[in-house]
Amino acid sequence: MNEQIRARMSQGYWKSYRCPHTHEVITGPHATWGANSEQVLLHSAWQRGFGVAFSRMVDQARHAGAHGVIGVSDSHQPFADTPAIEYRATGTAVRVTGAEVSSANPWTTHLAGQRLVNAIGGGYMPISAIVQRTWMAVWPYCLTEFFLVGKLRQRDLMGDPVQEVIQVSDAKMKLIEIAAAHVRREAQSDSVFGIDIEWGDTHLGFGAWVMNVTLRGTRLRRFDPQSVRLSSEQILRLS
Amino acid sequence: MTDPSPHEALRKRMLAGQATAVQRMKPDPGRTPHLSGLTVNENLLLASIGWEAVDLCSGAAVWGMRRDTVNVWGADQDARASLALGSAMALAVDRLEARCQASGGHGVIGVDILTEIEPRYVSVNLLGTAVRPAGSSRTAGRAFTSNLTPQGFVLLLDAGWMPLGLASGCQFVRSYRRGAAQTMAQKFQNVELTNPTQALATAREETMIQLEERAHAFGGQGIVQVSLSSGPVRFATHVLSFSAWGTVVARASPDGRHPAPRTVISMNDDSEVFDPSMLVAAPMTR
Repeated sequence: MNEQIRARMSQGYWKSYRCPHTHEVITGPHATWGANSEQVLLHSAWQRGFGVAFSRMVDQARHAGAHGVIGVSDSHQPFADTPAIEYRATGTAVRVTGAEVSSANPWTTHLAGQRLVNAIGGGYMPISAIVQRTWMAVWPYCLTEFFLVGKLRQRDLMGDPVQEVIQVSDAKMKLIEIAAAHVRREAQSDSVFGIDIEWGDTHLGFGAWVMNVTLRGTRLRRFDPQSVRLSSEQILRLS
Repeated sequence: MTDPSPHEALRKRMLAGQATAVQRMKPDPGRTPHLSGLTVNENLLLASIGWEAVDLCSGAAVWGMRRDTVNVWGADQDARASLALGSAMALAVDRLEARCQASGGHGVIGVDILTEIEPRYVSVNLLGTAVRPAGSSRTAGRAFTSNLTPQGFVLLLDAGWMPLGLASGCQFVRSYRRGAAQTMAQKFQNVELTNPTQALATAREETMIQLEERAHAFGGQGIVQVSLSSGPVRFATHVLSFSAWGTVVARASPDGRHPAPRTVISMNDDSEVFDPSMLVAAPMTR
């Protein structure tokens, strides 16, 4: 088991940061190195929990004879007072009136109502609702720790009084890049529209930080390139 | 022969989509997927003027300010915060534009701006959708960034204007409190608090100058969709902040089309006609 965890942990993004004060006289505690580390185990645990909830929703829709599931939403919360997390995926199973029940898995989408009608009218068919969640831990080195929570001492070592906290900037940029790459992989070559982004942060103290991002969108495939383009009209709101 | 009803037309299209896209068409492995933060309607609107979404782009910058005093935001910290936030804003925009160019977009629209002001650091996070004229290749020039919505972008292009970039400005100014004697003397008077008024006016003036300088640097003729925020800093109420974001625009063509809006009266009520909670009797109080 430990082998599996170690192998899994070594797969994610990792970037280390070295303390630049190698030739300085330093007293007291000083973080000589730090790292940004993608939390692959958290992602994998989430993927299993959410994946099971989502596939059960799809199975239920297939048994009900649905062609698709619309208005998909998901949530997660601690289960009672345990460290376990409960994942939920809900949506409305629909079928095209009078059409034969398909043997294929029903399609899923976050869209419903007018947006779904416009997508199909515009020649796009939903394939699946995509949700991806990614975590990044920031284990700070001396400069990051100083600029996030540092005390007055050692301030002469830290260079300019105003400077970029490069480690945290890198983490924020990389986090969204990795999450988008997960979405791209799941979408294969289809478009994903209406991506909604939810940020989360957990500060662990001493500048250590675990940030996460959730991307939700609908994977669409164009089935009618000749479809009539949307005609729009400006509406001037008087209220 | 009469046209099919909207219900029948939708039914046919859903069946066609189900039969082709879902069951028969396979993903094309040679094609890069397009990610878009715009809604389906916004993507369709963009397609109606011949543009397409290319990728989701982000730009982030976190800047720290050294603290030389024991108290939160003591001497010099307002000037340091102004410098830090200004630098973070500029760097985040540069990174967003670089990301857009790398993904083959000509510009980023619908940019969401998230700003955090903390005692030790400031953070700016920008997120938007890279767009380009449908099927076009990479642009050799600079990519533009804009906080315009897709609807605003379409209107701007139709009117013969073009976004050039995202301009920003910010300033933090310390406002000293009244002395004890002055506070006591004015205890029963309605008076203007001149210190915070002056501080806010100074912050606003500096911010607007920065915004105009950025617009000039882009070669713009104006700034639209300007969003302003001002007020005391959450954890240091003696410091007042003023920040502004906006899209720099310039005329691209002399023969723009100006849409004439029509008045539409909505038949939908804004609020519920009947609220079931009204039926619950209010608890009796003695």
